[in-house]
Amino acid sequence: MSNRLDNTRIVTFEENYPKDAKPGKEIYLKGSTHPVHFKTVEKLEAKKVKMKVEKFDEKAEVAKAKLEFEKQSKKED
Amino acid sequence: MTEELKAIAVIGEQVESFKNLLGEKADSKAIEKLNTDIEALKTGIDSMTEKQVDKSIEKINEAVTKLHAQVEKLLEEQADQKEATKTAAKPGEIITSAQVKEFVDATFKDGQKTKDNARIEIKAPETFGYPTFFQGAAGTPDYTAFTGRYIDPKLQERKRKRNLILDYFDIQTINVPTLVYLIKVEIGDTNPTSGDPGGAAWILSGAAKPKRSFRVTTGTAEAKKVAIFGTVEDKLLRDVPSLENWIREDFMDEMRETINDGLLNNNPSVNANAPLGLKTNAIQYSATPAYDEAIADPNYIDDLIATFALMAFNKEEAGMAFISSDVYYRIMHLKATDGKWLNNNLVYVTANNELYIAGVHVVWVDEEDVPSTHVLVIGRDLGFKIKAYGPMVFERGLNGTDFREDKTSYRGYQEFLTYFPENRENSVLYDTWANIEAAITLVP
Repeated sequence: MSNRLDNTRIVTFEENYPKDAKPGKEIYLKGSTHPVHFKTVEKLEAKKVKMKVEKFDEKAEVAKAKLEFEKQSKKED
Repeated sequence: MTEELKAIAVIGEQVESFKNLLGEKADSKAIEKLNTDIEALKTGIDSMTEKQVDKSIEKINEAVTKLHAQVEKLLEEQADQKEATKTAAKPGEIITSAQVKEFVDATFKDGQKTKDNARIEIKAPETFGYPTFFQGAAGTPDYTAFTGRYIDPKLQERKRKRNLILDYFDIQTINVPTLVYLIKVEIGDTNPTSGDPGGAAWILSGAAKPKRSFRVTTGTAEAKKVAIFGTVEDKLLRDVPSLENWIREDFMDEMRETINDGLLNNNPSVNANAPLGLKTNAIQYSATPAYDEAIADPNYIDDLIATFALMAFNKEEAGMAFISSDVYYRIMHLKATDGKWLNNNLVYVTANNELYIAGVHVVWVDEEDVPSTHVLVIGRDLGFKIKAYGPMVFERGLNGTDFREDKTSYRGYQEFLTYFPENRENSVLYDTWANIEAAITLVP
């Protein structure tokens, strides 16, 4: 199992980060979703950033990607 | 027919042509007399004495000479006449304005037209030009038949994206389709609960030495094939000699693109026919102690150096960073707070336009391989290994009903194996600039 998949969290931001950043200077925009390393997520949580954090569901992601790949392969045939 | 008779016949023909040239001006009596003499000589040559023949020929020659002089005179007269009437307008000839005035004055006197059929038609001479010069019975002619043409042999095609994997990674060729790699596993039985493999320790002289053990295991990689196929009509191959080369180049390019995509991005759980891709098991960025929320308003250079620091922290060493072309140029554009370009010993560009940041070669690649939002960093001693099983193959042959239908088929293929031991995953980092900045930015 790769480090990346184990350590990844899927974060959906419910506010801009940093909250008081000038327009264009935000790192994460409100409403955007990012795969983020869990250590960074912990820092953000400590800052009480409003966000929704989920574990990276590798099985579901792979199943979704596989379906998409198979659909694409059928089209090419 | 004797030689004499042949000569007489030639003279007869000559007289006839003179007669035609002179036309109305020909002296018909003289010509008639000459023809009579020629005929008399022709019919009586056998019965005539040599003297009589000579006399008759002399007489005929004199008459022919006179006739010829007449013809010459006529031709001279015609030439003089042509010269004298040079100013007269003829279709297609240039006339002067004075001639036009003269014509009008003569044709219209006191406002009355003096000649009913008189008319003046002014027509500009044609300029030699492409639209008019080349004419053909069936409409537009192929004027290249006159001018010739040059065929540029290069087939113009879209510019393909750069090939991150094949351009920058060392790929060795092996001659078997299965590869087994050896992995050292540091576990032991000295402490069954933790699996501690033990190790060296400082001891008192004479004391029992600490135990050490480790185990080995293996990983396996199987060759995965990338392939392409196409069939062409033989007639097309015969008529277009370059076609086979074009097919070869196209098939090779297509395969190279697919190889790059697979070796870079594929997850075998999604597509089991392709090998493991470089990015699939890459690590994400997490701040090292010195960078943990330590940089105020970081830029791309800060982000890159932070990733190199993480690699070093993980006992790896950054060897090359791949970034999108626009980020590459954005870095060159960065200025310090005093407005000066950031080009110093830390960030410098060689004469070959190679960018180095903190000693790491930063390479720009296409957006499809590394988007502007991401960065890919690989270690100098890369844990991700790529091997090719045999060379890239391009072959022609007959397939199915090809022979019967006058067709030829082409195929191209190559096989690759990749592996990435879990204990070397820190040698590849792939993450977003945003994640790096979130981890290193000093936020009050």
